[in-house]
Amino acid sequence: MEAHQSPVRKPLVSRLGEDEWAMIVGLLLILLVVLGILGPIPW
Amino acid sequence: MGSSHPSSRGTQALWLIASLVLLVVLAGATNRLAAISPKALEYPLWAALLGLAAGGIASAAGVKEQLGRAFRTELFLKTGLVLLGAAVNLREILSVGARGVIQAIVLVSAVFAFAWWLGGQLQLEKRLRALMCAAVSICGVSAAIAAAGAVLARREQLAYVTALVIVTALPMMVLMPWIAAATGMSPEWAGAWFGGNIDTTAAVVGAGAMYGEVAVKVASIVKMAQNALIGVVAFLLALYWVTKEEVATVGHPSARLIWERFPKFVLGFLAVSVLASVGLFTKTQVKDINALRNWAFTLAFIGIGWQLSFSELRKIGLRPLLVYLAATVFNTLLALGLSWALFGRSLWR
Repeated sequence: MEAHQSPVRKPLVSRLGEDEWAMIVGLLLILLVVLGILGPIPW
Repeated sequence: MGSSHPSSRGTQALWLIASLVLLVVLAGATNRLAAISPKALEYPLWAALLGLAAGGIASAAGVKEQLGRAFRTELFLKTGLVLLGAAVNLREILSVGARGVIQAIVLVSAVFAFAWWLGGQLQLEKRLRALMCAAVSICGVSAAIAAAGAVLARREQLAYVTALVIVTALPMMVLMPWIAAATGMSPEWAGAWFGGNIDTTAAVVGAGAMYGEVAVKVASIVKMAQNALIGVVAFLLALYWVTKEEVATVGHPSARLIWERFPKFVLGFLAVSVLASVGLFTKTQVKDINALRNWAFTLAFIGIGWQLSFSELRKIGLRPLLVYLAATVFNTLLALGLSWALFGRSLWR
């Protein structure tokens, strides 16, 4: 009898899509601005 | 390809660094060009042109694929949209009462419906049609980006619509304040007209500034009310696409599929908008977040220019241009009437 093998799950980081990354990056940038670490940003 | 040899990985890392450096240099150049050119000739246009030129040179040198590794167009677009949420402050929108919200809802619905109908009559490709409808009815480039995410549009379609938005905004920014002054419109009425009609936020502010402080304020708030509808429209488009347009290829959609196809970065946009509305950000912070958004969109449009295919653009043809112009005229007239009814008559003041 074959030993039960659970399907290989990819690590969370590689399961995230572009949308999720965009949210993470966007919110992280905002956090850095709010904490005063990033800024003033020239434009 | 796919070799894990250390020297191969080293070469790949070097190409990635070179790609990042190129992207930063092009973004800096875009920023400078946008600063010295007329206001409505916005940075997306310069970014796409620089990306196009750099892509052409890299292609001729045979290094386009290697040098394009850092050009993550979709990621930059979606990050920019999440950051855009900070510019949508519901409390500010309501500072002119419900009028701004009413105008935004009526205008966006009517102009979207008209452009959708006309695009159908002229048999436009449906994804392009969705992008154009979102752009002309809501707020130009940002709405087109959100719609592109919802219906999985091609890059060429987004580039085409972006060019239309920017080229149309330039004459409108100059003509509308002139017409308003010639007909003696009140600053409130004129501001609501500019904000409800001109598709790019910079051109809205530009037109309002030509008409005075009150016009700028009303124009910006009305535009902001329209921007707030980006999330709603992106959600409805994604829902429509999965339940109607893609049924033939993927079968009856499950709730899971709808969720998978939902442009989830819109949730980020809404969350940031809520944070801005509850007053979490100071004015300086909002200014910084807006600057970050401009940088994100700049990086994205450099990528769009880099990957632009002229044969694909030619395939799109001139019919979308007709639809866009007709929808813009419709938008102008409807916005004129609505802004008069809501902002131009003394009984509302």
